[in-house]
Formats: sequence, C-alpha cells, structure tokens
Amino acid sequence: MTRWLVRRLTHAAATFLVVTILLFLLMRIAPGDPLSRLVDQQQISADEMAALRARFGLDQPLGRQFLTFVTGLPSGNLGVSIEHYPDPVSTLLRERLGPSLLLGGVVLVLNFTLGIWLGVLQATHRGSRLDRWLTRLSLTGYSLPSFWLALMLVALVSLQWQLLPAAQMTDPLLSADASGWERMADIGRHLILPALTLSIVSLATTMRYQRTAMLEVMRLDFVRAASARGLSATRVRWRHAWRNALFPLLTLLGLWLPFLVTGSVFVEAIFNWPGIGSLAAEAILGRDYPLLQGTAMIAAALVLAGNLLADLGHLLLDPRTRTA
Amino acid sequence: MTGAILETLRTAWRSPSGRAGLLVLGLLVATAILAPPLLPDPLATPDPIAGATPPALAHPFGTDPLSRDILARVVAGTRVSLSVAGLGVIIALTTGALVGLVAGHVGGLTDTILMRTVDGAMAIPRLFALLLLTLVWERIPLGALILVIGATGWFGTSRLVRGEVLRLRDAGHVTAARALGSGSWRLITRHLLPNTTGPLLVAATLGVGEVILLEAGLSFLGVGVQPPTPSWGGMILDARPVLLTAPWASLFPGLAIVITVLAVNLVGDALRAAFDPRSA
Repeated sequence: MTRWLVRRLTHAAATFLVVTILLFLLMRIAPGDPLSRLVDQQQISADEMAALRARFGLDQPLGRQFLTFVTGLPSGNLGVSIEHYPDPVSTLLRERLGPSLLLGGVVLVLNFTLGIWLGVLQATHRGSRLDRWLTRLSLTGYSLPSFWLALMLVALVSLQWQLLPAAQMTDPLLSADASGWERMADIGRHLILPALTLSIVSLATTMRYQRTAMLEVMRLDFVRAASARGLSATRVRWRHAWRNALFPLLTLLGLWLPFLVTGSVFVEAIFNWPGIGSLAAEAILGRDYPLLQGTAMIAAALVLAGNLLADLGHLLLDPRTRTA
Repeated sequence: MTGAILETLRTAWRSPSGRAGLLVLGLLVATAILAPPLLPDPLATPDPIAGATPPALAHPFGTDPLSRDILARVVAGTRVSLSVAGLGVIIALTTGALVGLVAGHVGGLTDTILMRTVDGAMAIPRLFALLLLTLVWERIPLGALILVIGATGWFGTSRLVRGEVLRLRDAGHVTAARALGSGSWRLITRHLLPNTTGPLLVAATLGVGEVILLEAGLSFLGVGVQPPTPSWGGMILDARPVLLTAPWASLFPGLAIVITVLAVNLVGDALRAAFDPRSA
C-alpha cells in the first residue's frame, strides 16, 4: 500500500512538472513578453521598462526564468497580474475562491443527489419509455451551450418576469443592518439561476455514469440472489446493488474537483458571479496572460489532485485494488 | 478507411435516434451548402437605423441590431461551425493516431516522453489551453483557430491508439505478418491502423459535438471566429446588449447550436451503444 502510494505520488508530481513546463512554454509563444502588454496599457518609459524587466527577471535566459517560475510555485507565487498591476495573481485567486466554492458546491450536491437518483431510476427501468426519455432529455441538456442557456434564463426569469436577480452574488441595495438570515436569503436568490444553468448542462454526465455502473452491478449473481431471497425491490436496489455501483462515481467526483474551485468561465461571467471563472473571463478581455496562466495552473493542479483522490478512495473502499 | 466510415454510418442508421441525428445533420449540411445563394448577404447592413426588427416574412428569423438578416447569418454560421469542427477534429485525430502509433510501435524512451507529455497536457482543462493559445493572436485567423482546436484535442486519441497498438502488437495476425517479412510501415497501415478505426470514429463523432460547443464559447468570449465572419457564438455575443428588446437575435443562433450538437451527439451515442452493447 505504501509502495503504491509512493509510486502514485511520484507519478502525479512528474505530471505536474510537465504541466508547469507546458504552461510556461504556452506563455512564451505569445509575441513579446508579459510586460509588453503592461506597457501598452500604462505608458511606461523605456528606462522604467528596463527596470521592471529586471525586477521580474525577464532579462534572464529562458532556463533561469523557468527555474524562478518553478521555485516560486511552492510558496504560491504565480506572478503578477497585468490588469490588476501590481497585485499578485495568487491574491486575486484567493479573493475569488469563496464564491466559486459556494456555486460549485451547490451544483455538486444537486448533481449527485438528483443525478444519482435519476441514473438508478433509468437502470432499474432499462429500455422503458422513462429510460429513453430521460436519456433524450439529459442528452439535450448536455448539448446546450451553457452561456446561451444562462442568457435565455436571464432574459426570461430576470428581465421579463423579474423574479430573480440577473447578476452578482449579493444585492448592493441591501441595508447594512440586515440580519444574517436576510443576507443568506439574498445570496440564495442570486444563486438559483447560475446553479440551475450549470446543473442542467452537467446532469447528463452523472446520470450516465450512474446508469452504466448500476447496470453493471445489477447483472451480478449476488443481486439476483438477494431478489431470490425475497427481499423487497427497494432494498435490493439501494442496499445491495447501489452500494456496489458507487465506485465510478468516485472517479466522477475526482473529475468534478477542479470545477468546484475554478467554477465555470461562461456561467460565472454571464451572472457576474465573483468567482475564479469570471476572473478568468476578465483576464481574457484584459489579455492578462499571467492571470489566465495562474487560473489554468490551479485548474490543472486540481485535476491531478482529483485523480489522485479518486484512486485513493478506490484503494480505501475496495480491498482488491490494494494488491495492485 | 472509406469502408470503415460507411460501416459506421450504417451502424448509426440502424438505431432510431442515430437515424434522427444523421437526418438532421444531412439537412443542416445541405442547407449550409445550397441555401446561401437564395438568402440575403449575411454581411449586408441595408438599414442600420431601423435596428433589430422582429421575425417577419422578409426576414423569417428577424434582423440583428445592424439590420443584418439573422437567417442568412445562422446558415453562414453553420458553414463556419461545421468546417471548424470537422477540420479541427480531423487534425486532432490524425495527430493523435500518429503519436499513438509511434509511441506504441517504437516504445522505449520515445514512448515514455510522449506519454508523459500527454499526461501533463490532459491535466490542463481544454478550455484554458485554448484560451491561452488563442490569446497569442490579437485577432485569431480562422486557419489558426482550426489548428489550435486540433492541437488541443489529440491527447485522448493518442492514448486510445497506443493502447490498441500495444494490445494488437502480439496478436496472431500481426505476428504472422511480421514473420512474413512485413516492414514497420506495412504493419502499421495494413494491420494496426484498420483495427483502431472503430473506437476512433466514435471518439471523433463525440469530439465534433464538443468542438462545436467550444468554438461557440470561444467566439462568444471574442477570441474565436472573428467578426465580420458570422459565427453562432459571435452572433450571441453581438445580441447580448439587446437581450430583452430583441431576444430573437440570440434565440436563433443558440437553437442552431443546440440542434446541431444534439444531432451529432445522437449519432455518437448510437455508435457508442453499438460498440458497447452492455451499457445500452
């Protein structure tokens, strides 16, 4: 088990190093260096420019620059934003973390309750009209561009019917002495539309994973044995089959981890949700390369962490994988 | 290869939803090729002062704030979207197949370097990789957009092909061919590649749906297809300020995306079900 863990961790670390190299190279393909865009925007003299170049180490050879970049990573140094100069990228990301976690968390809970239930329902009614229609509906949701769905919901629910706020996370007009409950209700109202949009476009994945996993398990002998012993269909379905159909969901949870933190670029941008996703969208508009790179870096690190955690979960839950 | 494509189409045609998807796709392609001469110029702005007008007989989908005909622009957008997606996926598939073949066939250090790079590249979410790449250009040309989409889409394919090559390397027919004196090239093109086309075409179909959504998203963010070339994502971006007063300007391009992607996904789903009947 320890050997497995060491090997897995080494692999993850090596992959992360590759990610760093790739992202570093991506940033260097851009014409000029990160600072040239800063100069365009802030009108800096040539002398000041040279001083800045020296300060950010851009006058160093490429290998040295990469070394500085990598050695800065453990301490969370992701460089300086151009748009928000002189704020460091890591500070900006930290400020936006909370709202993304909130939105991502709500979507994740919705997804895993509703998605699992519907997936199990499809598996137990395999081939029925219900199964077919749920497949079609979820496939439609999967084919929707999230930014368009978000705009349509805003147009209808917020602008036409004026039921829910169209943007931001809180109401700026909310009085300063509003109670905690009022504040929570306010955030809740702002949360509904973005969470709904993201759930609709992402539910299909969870449903499909759960349906396939459940079908795999329901074929096995022990499920038939449980039915043969006269246990109720509900009991067989949830206590016997479903428990064993949870493994693929662990993988799915690993896939979701990055989304939880970085949020959705499109949906956060449209609802002006103050998370990391909308920060990335702002970085695109401002051509803020270091900021976008920092966001990509966090996302990639989380993808690796998610894979690692999913593998670890498998290891803890399923003793059979321990020998491998 | 042509045989494999025909066989795949036949497979998709056999399921009702796959058939529906193929029919819709065929209709869309036919419209995109044949309709433009019958429609107004998608770039013409006959009456900019009138602004966006609602759907009427002269303009079935209405006009946008610059008085351009939305139907003509949606149809022109079909051309752009389908070409970008089609070419992007072909580039991705070819690159992925090549890298996978080389990694699996050559093995050793080459394999390690290639596959570790793929591991790293797969950890970067595709949207972020695309955004970083498209920002290299001030206004990205269409050809570069296609290349960039192809360059970020081959990692999964290379793993798939490498896996198949490793599985087939010691298969009876490959050993026999090797014993008969086939060279590397012949082994690859005649014995390894044909056996990987099935899973490749499923991946390609689902890839087209993904790429159409990505391209629309990039264009919506202003870093994809550049105006004045009509694109669905770009049209939705242009229509955003008039969302309430002229909802048709964002409704129709969005519906075009949904219908196209859904049709592609129906075909992909039918293919997947045919290749993996246990999950159907």
